[in-house]
Amino acid sequence: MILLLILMSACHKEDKNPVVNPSEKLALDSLVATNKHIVTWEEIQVRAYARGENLNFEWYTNHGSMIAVDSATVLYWACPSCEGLNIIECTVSNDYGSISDTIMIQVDPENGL
Amino acid sequence: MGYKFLLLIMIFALFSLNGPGQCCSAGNPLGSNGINDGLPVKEWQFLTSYKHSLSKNYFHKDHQVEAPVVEKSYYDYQSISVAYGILKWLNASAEIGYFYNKTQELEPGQTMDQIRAGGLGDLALNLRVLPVKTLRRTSQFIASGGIRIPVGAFEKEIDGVTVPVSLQPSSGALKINTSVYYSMPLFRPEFSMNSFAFYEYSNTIEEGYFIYKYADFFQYSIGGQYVYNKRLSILLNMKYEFRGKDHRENEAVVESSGSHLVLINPQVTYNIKRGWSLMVLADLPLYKYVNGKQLTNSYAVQCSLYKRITF
Repeated sequence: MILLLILMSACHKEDKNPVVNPSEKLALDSLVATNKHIVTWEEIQVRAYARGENLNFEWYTNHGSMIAVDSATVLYWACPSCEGLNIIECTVSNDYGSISDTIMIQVDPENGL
Repeated sequence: MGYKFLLLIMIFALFSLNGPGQCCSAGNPLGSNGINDGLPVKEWQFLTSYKHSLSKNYFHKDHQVEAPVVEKSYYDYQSISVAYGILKWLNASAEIGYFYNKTQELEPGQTMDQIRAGGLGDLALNLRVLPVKTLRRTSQFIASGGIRIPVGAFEKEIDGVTVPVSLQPSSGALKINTSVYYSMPLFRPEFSMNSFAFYEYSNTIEEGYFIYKYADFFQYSIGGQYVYNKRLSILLNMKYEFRGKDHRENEAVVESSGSHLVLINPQVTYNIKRGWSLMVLADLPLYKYVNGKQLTNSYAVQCSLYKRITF
């Protein structure tokens, strides 16, 4: 009986927990790539969906090349020496702090080579 | 005789201009700066060198192939070095350089024309041991060991986007190297032959998500020098370079890495006055075999000014 009461009490507490919304001051909701499985030289765009004011974007990849399309979007491609499972990381920051997310891109050899 | 030798260099150079060569990679140029002889005790050598290198053709094995996106890659690099003869048998040297640019030009239609970075390269420290008595224009045997410390820039970015590793001024890796150099007179005092072997080992880079190990690098050159007069000397080397395959995280082999190269290396030194010398050299690829598909070097030229003084 005591155990049942404790369990009921616990369930009741969980129901009362407020839903935590991502901060409206700074949030990085997702990184979305037009394709996550590509061959060498194939170009894709990766876009960061972020919220907040005065956002600053920094992009990094361990293998491959990127150039900025706009601050929230990069164009990515990989040369033959960058074949493999590569990581693209985006860090978004403003006066409230910074937040990062990563996306994995698989780069395979081009056909014929 | 000197003019014939110079003519021979020019003919070799002419035939080699379209040849393949080494690929652009992160960090300082590899191998020797062109001066391999030893310094007498208490002699200082101050040197500055300017190097331009262009890579524009992709190769698969030993033939050229088409590749999109990147049109060409080049760099302009200046180094300064100081060397000192500590003992009769021991020299020490230090070198650091700066990349004015490391550039990849992209095909038309991209959002940018080029990706460009620049900055401080790696610091090289070297000790040379001269076990055989050294007098210029006679036999020399020099063994040396050195270290390259990645003090330079490795996180350059453009518009918030980190530039590719191959364009970073620093290699990001601690490297150790060893070399042996031998020169001896041949037939006549003004002729000499030399031989130089260089080996470099790189440790594994672990920078954030970037885990990478450059393969071992080996270079061997053999050549002849002709001292035309007190001011002018000409040197012609044939070089062979080998690099194994690199590795990335989880010991994965990078298939498009590693190569066998044969290059020709003409070099002219002019002794100006009061210990000042001017040296011009080139690395011109004759033959290359690359693993996978890689961007290849078309040529590299270097101009050096140095002074030797005794305190």
